[in-house]
Amino acid sequence: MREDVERYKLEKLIEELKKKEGRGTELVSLYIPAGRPIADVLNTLNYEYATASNIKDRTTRHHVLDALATIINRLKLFRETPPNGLVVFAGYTASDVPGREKMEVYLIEPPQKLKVWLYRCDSRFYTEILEDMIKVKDVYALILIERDEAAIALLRGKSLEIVDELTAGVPGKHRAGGQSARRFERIIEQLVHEFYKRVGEHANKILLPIKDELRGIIIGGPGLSKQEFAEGDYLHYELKQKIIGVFDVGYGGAAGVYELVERAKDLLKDVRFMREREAVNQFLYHLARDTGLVTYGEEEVREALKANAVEKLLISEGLNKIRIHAVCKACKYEFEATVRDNTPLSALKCPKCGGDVEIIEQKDIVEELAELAEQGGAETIIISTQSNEGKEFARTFGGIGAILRYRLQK
Amino acid sequence: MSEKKPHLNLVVIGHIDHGKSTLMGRLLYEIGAIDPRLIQQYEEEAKKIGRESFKYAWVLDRLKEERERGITIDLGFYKFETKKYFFTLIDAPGHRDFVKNMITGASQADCAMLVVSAKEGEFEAGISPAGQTREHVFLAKTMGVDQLIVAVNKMDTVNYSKERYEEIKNQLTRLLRMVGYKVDEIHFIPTSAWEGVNVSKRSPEKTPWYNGPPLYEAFDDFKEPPRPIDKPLRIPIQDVYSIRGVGTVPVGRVETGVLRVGDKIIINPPKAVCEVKSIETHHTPIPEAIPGDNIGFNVKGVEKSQIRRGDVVGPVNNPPTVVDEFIGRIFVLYHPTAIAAGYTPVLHIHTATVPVTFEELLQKLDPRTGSVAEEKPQYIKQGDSAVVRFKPRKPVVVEKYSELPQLGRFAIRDSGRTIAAGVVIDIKKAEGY
Ligand SMILES: Nc1nc2c(ncn2[C@@H]2O[C@H](COP(=O)(O)OP(=O)(O)OP(=O)(O)O)[C@@H](O)[C@H]2O)c(=O)[nH]1
Ligand SMILES: [Mg+2]
Repeated sequence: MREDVERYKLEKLIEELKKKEGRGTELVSLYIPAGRPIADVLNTLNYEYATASNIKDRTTRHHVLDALATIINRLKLFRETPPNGLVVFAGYTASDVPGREKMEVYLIEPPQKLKVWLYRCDSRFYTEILEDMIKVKDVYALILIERDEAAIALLRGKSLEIVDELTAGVPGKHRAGGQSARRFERIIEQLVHEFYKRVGEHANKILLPIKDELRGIIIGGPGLSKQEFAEGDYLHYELKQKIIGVFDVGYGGAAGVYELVERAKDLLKDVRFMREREAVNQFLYHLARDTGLVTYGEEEVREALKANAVEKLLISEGLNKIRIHAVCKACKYEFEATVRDNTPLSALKCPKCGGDVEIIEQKDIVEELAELAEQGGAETIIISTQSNEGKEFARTFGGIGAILRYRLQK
Repeated sequence: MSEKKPHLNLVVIGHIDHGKSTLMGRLLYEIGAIDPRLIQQYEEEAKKIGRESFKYAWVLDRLKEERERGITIDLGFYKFETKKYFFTLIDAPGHRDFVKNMITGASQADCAMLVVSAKEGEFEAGISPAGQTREHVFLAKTMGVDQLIVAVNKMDTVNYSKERYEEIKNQLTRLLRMVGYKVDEIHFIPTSAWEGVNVSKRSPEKTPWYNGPPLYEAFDDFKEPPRPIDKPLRIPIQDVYSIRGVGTVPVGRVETGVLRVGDKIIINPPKAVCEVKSIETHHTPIPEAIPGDNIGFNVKGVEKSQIRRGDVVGPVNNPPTVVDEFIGRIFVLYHPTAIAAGYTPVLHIHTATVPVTFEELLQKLDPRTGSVAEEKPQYIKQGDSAVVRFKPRKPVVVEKYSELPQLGRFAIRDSGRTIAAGVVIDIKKAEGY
């Protein structure tokens, strides 16, 4: 989905920004709330510019003034503040070679309406507000329960995490029949009740603090336990109201979590985790059935994208690769290549003559392929490396795969 | 209990509602293993909640939920004797949500009785791809139950039709052969639990066309399996009780070795060291237990809360192996898509149930010859045999099949279906064990 690609880009960018450092307190972070007129912003910045002229340290003063001037110049190009507001980062970031600091400036339109104003000079960029914005807030709670076993898991965005597991020593059926059977039965029922109570207490402790983010509680397990638990007074009433489904599942503990997710998939279909899982499963399905409607590997997928044959592009977020477009300074040979994102580009040589090359363009491979996909009308699904399916996909298929519209001629 | 008769564990398996509990309840009643007054009492109580037809099943279905819903949930145990053997009956649930309990029961059994209903539609449901007749047969074989008899039950609903019986027998023969059973040695007995046909006595008046033995006699055709007493002690725990005035009492079946009163033992993974104070089987104290014995034993030095189903008892000087990883050879029975590294379904091994990750697909095998068809395949699918490196997500006892087969075979399930069966070919011990 487009939104996922945008989010991915922003996540990557924030990661980059967090690594950057200034020599002194000279990196400017600016958060402009939605609806604030640009003229007001410029006024404030001009005032900050005046104030900054008083900074004692000469280099810092110059750097801050430069950064502010850059921002002011950029903002002058805006007729009005973008609908969600604007985030600006600018400043001279440190480099390995002293004196080679370079001015960098980033203008980011936030994914949601920005409500706060913030101006800050620091030795790093202040990305926290932006980070908080892209953090997924909606959570689903999954409770697996049986007479002697329970697990609580949280499904948030792309991650599914088991946060608590409980067991109880409720014995199975008494081996002897006869006189004591009924008394034994009562003791068992009492132990079961106490166990449900304990599970309820744990669930309350975990879920009440996040109740505002909680979109629903889904309960599963074998037999009647799940109903008894859901209907009884075990969960806090505010949580009880949030139960959106109760499902039959073959296991009462951690082993049942995936099965519950599967059973409840209609309730969860807009969660990113489910979209990823669904896409990977669809990919594996075509692979297993030999339908010919699937391909993987960077070259193969790129070919398929260029042939407009891709329906869904699956791409792993953890690839850490970039695509470069370069030209050889010596023989003028132009080429594209994919390299790891920590490769020093200056060390890159021409594949033809071995000469030094000049980089014309470089792009994160996820963005690059997603753009190709968009041009061809294919949907892009970014696969996180947090789920088992995601790990599986990254490890086995190199993190790049596609489900095709039609078979490609070999 | 008679000391001289050898002991066999019999698990009763099959699709839900095919009459497993009723048939066994009826048998116990007919052979006098249960007080007739109790059946009368069950009849009255069952009538009250409109479940009169379950009066025999109540012998084994004792939980409130079981009686209210008319299904078996947990394993039911009962003892009875035949001419040749002393049996521990393990009545398994047929409901698909409780397959995990059935697997535990099968892991403790020497032999099995498969109950299938002859009723129109019921037999068909059980043998369909998602049915438990099929799944249970596969799981029983996977868990090492090599001897089987079949009760074609509810024959009263098809007028004791020989044709229906033959049709069912043919279909089952095919299934059983495919799974690896020696079908020529298997009895197929037409029964009615409800009318008591071919249960403890032959019923030529109903099934004149059937020449074989009734259930009760057929049980004597089981062979006594080898009792590996010279191997190190291993008892997978099936349940733990805490009995007032006595203390902690784990129960389970001795798989290998011998357990004696006074022994110092260790229970793994929790590393609980304790001493055996007493051993009993069906409430009779015994001084020592041998493979096949289904026992409860009182231990000193460990709390009930420290141990649970799936833990394994062994000698202090040769403790059960807790693994970090293991290598297994599997056959993929069913999978809707393809399996690649990272896949994390549920592992069943002896009485333990834990999530397990397919860490690495090492080899794909030719299912017929067993020779390597592909090194490091990217994925495997339904019908494939493969060698896989597995990583259990929690500490669990796993042994090599070549050394302790009872603790070295396993089943893999996911989303309510059995995915694969396998044996352990190598293990990597967990640190600290
Ligand atoms: N007509 C007829 N009904 C039978 C017969 N055997 C069992 N039933 C009925 O089938 C229903 C289910 O019987 P159960 O014994 O509970 O079946 P089960 O296989 O133990 O079921 P689960 O343990 O839940 O898998 C009950 O209503 C029985 O009375 C039979 O031989 N003939
Ligand atoms: Mg039953």
